[in-house]
Amino acid sequence: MIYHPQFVYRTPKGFRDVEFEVFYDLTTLAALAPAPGSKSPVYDLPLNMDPDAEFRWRGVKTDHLLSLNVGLRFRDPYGNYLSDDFVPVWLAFIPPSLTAFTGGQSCIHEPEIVCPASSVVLLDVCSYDTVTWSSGGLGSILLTGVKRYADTCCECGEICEPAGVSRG
Amino acid sequence: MDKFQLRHFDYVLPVGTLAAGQRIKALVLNLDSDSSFILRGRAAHCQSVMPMYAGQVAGLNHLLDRYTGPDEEYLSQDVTRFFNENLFMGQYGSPLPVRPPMIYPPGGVIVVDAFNDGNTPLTGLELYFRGSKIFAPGVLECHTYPEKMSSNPYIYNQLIQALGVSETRPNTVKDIQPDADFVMRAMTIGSLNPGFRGLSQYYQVWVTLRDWDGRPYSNLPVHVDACFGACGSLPNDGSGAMLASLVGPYHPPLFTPEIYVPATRQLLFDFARNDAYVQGTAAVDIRVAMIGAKVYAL
Repeated sequence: MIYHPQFVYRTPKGFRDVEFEVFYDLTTLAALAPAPGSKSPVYDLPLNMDPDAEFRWRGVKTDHLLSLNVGLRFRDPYGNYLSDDFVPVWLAFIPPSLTAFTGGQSCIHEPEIVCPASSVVLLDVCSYDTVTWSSGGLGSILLTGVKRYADTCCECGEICEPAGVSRG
Repeated sequence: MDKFQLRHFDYVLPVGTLAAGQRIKALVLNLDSDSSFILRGRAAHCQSVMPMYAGQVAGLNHLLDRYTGPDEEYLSQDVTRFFNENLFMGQYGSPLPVRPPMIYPPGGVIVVDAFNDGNTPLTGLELYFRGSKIFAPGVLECHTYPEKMSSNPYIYNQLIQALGVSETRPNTVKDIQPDADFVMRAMTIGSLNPGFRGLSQYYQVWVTLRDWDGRPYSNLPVHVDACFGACGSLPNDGSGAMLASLVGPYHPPLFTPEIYVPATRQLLFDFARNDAYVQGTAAVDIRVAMIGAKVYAL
């Protein structure tokens, strides 16, 4: 597991992986436009997984144009913190080019985290800033990865998606 | 040798000031005698007064160099422009790859010629040779993954608070939690929103990373932006587009090989800063992110 290509995971037989991103909009989070020096953290923001399939979480992107001096701390669906403190976005979560969502790679983590359908990733956010933000809020958070669907044989004899399942 | 242990290591060759038009021949970097060394990548760094650049590129596009391989033969006919080979001079922990990697013997040397074809001096020039030491079994403690294990991605943080303009701060200790081993695969270092708030700007900050026995991972302190820069001292206020798609947190500075730290052990940091040559600088908070995974024995 040490030096394999990132994002190259085998899909087991009988399953199908579909690229997927979990999006969380922080721009309306007025509580995170702190007074100077307050550094007020906000805890337990829920990032909800879709109910149709498990999400295999492999990376993070932040919209850093808005998320200035921000620290993030994630908790996986099993309650495990993924860091010992808030992690500054500029050290670990900014995608290429210093512009928002430019289409580059996300900041991967290793190994992937399997988030069951309908599970919740919790996010704590803090501001390190010492002045009031003019933008009034943060940017956005993207969790990148794949949804894993179980292939099933239906009456038509082909591999089809299970009844009632959409790709969200 | 049937078996061996690899350990990440950076060699720094301090050149000093390379005057405009000056050519220095046969600078010698003496390698340690305790092990062989695999050279995997190169970088260059020099001092700058340009805000937000911290010496990453300014002037370095006029650096031309060449160096010798393990047989002490030069690897190019004459000096070549580093900038032509790597836009960011191998900094931000993304060294110019040496392909294929070369193995130098214990106590070997790397001989360098350097030339400045610009109109301004390159002050505080440092050349970096990044790779791995090769030890015989038993020389170092051997810690690695248990036979049965699970792991979870994890980031340890460290704050170096209010590092003074001309301060040396040794022995910052990071304790690894007792619940799991930690495998560190990358490390990023930078200040709080550098360039955006005047008091958070730094230029010349170096770090020596050491293991729990105090054994360093470099022969000399390494510049934080050269070896572990994420956004480093560049601004991340949205105004700066200097950091192109080649480097940054999505492409973190990797250790080769990764550093495996058993539970309850420590990583040690020595920080040093020398920004007295720049007017208006002040104490700065330096933050470190140690990126990797927790490893649980099953």
